[in-house]
Amino acid sequence: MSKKFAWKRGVVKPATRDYKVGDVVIFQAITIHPMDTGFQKDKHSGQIKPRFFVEELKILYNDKEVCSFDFEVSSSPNPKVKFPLKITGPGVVKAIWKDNMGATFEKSVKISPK
Amino acid sequence: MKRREFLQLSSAAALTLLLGSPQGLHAEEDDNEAIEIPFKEAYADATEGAKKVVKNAKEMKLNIPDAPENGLVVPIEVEVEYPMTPQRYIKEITVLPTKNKVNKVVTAHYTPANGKAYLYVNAKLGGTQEVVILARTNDDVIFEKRKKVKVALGGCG
Repeated sequence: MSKKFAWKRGVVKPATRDYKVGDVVIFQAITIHPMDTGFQKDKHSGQIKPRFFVEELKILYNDKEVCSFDFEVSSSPNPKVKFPLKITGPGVVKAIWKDNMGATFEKSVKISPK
Repeated sequence: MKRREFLQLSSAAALTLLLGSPQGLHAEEDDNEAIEIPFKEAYADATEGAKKVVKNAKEMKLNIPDAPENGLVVPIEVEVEYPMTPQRYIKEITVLPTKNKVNKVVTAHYTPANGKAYLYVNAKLGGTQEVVILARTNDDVIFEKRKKVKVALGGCG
């Protein structure tokens, strides 16, 4: 790796703003990550870039795990997923990403249904 | 003769060096080296322990472009018409390409709290190939659907 990667960007948010209790809302979670496959060569140094990718994404709704995603290197760079979630009341939706080097990164969003 | 001797000695030295710390070397390789996943292995892994595989399932709706411009970012959208109650729900949705080096994109684990079986993900595709989507219910029935995607510009360098 020529530049050291600093993990500092990501977002989790609902796709629409107006939702009520009981609605199923589509959420999206994106993070900025290179997702190196381990097959590519670096253009400047000519050396093979090591495998470096997001392994897992966990979604917690009010500290209870609702779904999780296991990624592999065939996912695009800056992995983006959309998933549904049933709104049961006000609270916090938290996304926790984890990469194969053991680093974690988390973002959360407040849910306030009308 | 001298050259021969030197060669023998040096090769022996290199061997001992190589064999001297095999564990340390392996640990480094595991971190950095790419691991290929053939399609058969990925498919067997995803359908392990299934009672029944329903091919070309009507319950699934795929929304994948026929010919995406760029193989690096191919949007894949799946919706499964299945109730999401605590008794009957979709447990996993798996996206598998067939001709990449690593034939697995993502496995989503869902619970009844999701309320709907839907997934959107971006995939890298290395060339024209079929994409296989598998959805597993909580009683281990698998719905399978395939779609052929034409890719002019491959996404895996």
